[in-house]
Amino acid sequence: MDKLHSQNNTNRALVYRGKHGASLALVAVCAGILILSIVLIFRIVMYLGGVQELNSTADAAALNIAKRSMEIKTSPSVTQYGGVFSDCTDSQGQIGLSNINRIWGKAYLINANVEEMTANQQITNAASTAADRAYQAAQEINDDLYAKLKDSFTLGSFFDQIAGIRFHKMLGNPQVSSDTNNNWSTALIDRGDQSNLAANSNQIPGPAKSRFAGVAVGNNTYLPGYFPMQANNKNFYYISFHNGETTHLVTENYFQRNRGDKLGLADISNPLPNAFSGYGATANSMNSHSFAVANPQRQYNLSTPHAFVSISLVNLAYWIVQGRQVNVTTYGFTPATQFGANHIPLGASGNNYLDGYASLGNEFQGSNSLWTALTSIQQDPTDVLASVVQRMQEITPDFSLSNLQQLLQQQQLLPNASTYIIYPSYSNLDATNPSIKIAVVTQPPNKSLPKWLNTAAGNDGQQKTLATKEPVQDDPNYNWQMVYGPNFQSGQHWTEVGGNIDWTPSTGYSQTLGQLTIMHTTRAFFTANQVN
Amino acid sequence: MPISRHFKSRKNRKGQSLIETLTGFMILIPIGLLSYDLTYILIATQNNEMLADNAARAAASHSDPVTAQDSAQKALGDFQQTSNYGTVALNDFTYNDENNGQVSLTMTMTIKIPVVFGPWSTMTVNAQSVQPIVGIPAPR
Repeated sequence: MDKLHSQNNTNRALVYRGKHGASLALVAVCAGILILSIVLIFRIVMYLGGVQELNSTADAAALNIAKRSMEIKTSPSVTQYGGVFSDCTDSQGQIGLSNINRIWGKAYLINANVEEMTANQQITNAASTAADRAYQAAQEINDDLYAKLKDSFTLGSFFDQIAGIRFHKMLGNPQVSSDTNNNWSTALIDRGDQSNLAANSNQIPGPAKSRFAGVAVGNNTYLPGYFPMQANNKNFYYISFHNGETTHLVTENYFQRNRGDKLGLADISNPLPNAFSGYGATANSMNSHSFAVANPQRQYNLSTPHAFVSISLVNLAYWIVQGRQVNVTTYGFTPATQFGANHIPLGASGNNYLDGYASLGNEFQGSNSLWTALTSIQQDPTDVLASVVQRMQEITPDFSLSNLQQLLQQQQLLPNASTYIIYPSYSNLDATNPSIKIAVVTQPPNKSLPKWLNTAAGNDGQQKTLATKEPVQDDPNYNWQMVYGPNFQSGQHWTEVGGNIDWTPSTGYSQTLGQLTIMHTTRAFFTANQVN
Repeated sequence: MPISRHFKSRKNRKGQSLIETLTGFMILIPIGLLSYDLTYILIATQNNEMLADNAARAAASHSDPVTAQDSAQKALGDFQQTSNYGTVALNDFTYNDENNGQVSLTMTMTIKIPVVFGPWSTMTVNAQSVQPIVGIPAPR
C-alpha cells in the first residue's frame, strides 16, 4: 500500500512538475512573440515615417524647382531682331518666366496694329515685315527659354539643393538625390485662367479687338493663360499665373492631365510651362514624386513700353497770281505778314507787275496751343483723336481722351517747332508705371528726353486723311496786292483757308506708334485786270 | 499515505501557479507598457517632424523674416492647443532670403512619457526642416 501511495505521489509530482515547466515556457514564448511583434511594428512605423519624410523632401524640392525656375533667364540678344523687346526685360535686361508674357504682349500689339492697317488700307511692306520680325523674335526668345527650362542638370541641381540638406532619420539618414531621374516633366496648368498681363479691349486696335478674350479678376482684366489669341493670322499665348498666389504644390492628377508633352497648345510651338515635377530617390531605390506650380507674384500691363506718338504741324500758303501758282511758303503760329508774290510780271511787256501780300497765322490767334491748332480744323476732334488715344493706350492702358486733351491744351506752340511727341517717362528700370509727357522735337534732340527715345524713327504705315475743313474765304487769313504798270489795274484778291488732319499709323516696332498731322492751308489768290 | 503530506502538496501546487502567473505578468506587462511608450514616442516624433515641416512651409510663404517667424510660431501654437504630447519650442529659426533662399528651423518637443519607468518620465526629440522661400516676388 505504501509503495502504491509512493508511486502515486511520484506520478502526481511528475505531472505537476511538467505543468509547472509549461507555464514558464508559455510566458517565455508569449514574451518572445510580444517582443518580436513590437520590433515588427516598430520597423513598420519607422518605414512609414521614412516614407513620409521622403514625400516631404520631394514636396520641398519640387517647390524649390518651381520657385527657382524664375531665375532661369535669357536675353533679347539671342535673336537677330530681339532689340525690339529691350523695353520688356527686367531691370537686368533679362527675360524669364515672370516677364515673358510682356514679350508676347508687345508682339501681339505690333501684329494687331498691322491687322488694323491692312483693314484700313494703310499697310506697307515695311509694316508687314516689322510684324513678322516681332513675332519671329518673340518665338526665338521663347524657344531659348524653353530649352533652358527643360535642362535636366539645372532642374536636378534645384532639386538636390533642398533634398541634399534635409534629414531622413527614420530611414537611417540616407542621401536623397535626383541623379537617377531623367524625366523632368512639366505642365501647362490653369489653362484659360488669368495670366500676369493685365489688359483691356480698348488697347487692341481694329479687327483683333473682336477676338479679345480677357479674364476678369476683381477690378482688372487679364489676358488668358494658355489660350491662344490671334492677330494678323498669327497665334499668341501667355502663361497662366494667378494673382495673389505664391508658388505652391499641386496634385499629381492635375499635373499629369496638363502635361505639355501629352496635351499641347494648338498652333503654339514650345509653350513655356508653369508647373514642374520633382523626383528623388535613395540608394536603396525608395523614391518619391512631387509637383509644384510657379508664380512670380508680379503683374504687368499689356504695353509697348518704349513708344511714342507724334503730332506734326504744317502750315502751307499757296500764292496764285492770275490763276497760276507762283510760290508755296510755310507760315508760323503767330499772325505775320508774308510777301509771297514778289514782283510777279503781268502781261508780256514787262512793264507791269504785281506784289502780293497775305496776313497768315491768324488761325492761332488767341490761345496758342496744340489744342487750338487742332480745333481750328475740327471743332470737335474726338473722332480724329480716337486713333491717337488707342495708340497711347498701347503704352499705358488707362490713358484717356481727357488726358490727351489736357496735354494738347498745355503745350504751347513754339515758334520754330513743327513736331511734338507724346511719350512715356519711366522711373523704374523695367519700364513699368509710366507718366505721360509731351515735348517738342528739336535738332539736336532735347536732352531732357529719355535716352531710349529715337525721335527720328519713321512711321511704317500709309497716311490717310481723317478730317477736312472746307475752305473759308478770307477768314481768318487775308491778303492784299499792289499792281504796278500802265496796262493793268488791281483786280480781285481773296484767300481760301482750309486744312485737314491726317493720321499715319505705325506698328510700334521702331518705337513710333503713329503720327497725327495737322495741316493748315491758305490759298492766296491775286488778280489784275488789263486796261488797255 | 498521511493526510497532511497530501494536503501540503495541494497547497504547494496552488502557490506555484500563483507565483508563475505573477511572474508572467511581471514580465509581460512591463514589456507591453514599454511597447506602448515606444509607440507613443514614435508617433510624437513623427508629429513633431510634420509640425516642423508645416511651420517652415508657413514661414516660407512670407516675404520678410518677422512675419515669417510669427507664422511659424502660430503653427506651433495651433499644434500645441490640440496636442498633449508635451511642450514644443521653436529653435534655430533662420530666414535666409539673400543667399540660399531658404527657411530652416528646429522644433524641440519634450514628450511626457505616458508610462513612467523609474526616472524616465520625459524625452526630448528634435525635428529639423528646410523649405524654400516662396513668399518673395520675382525681382523686377
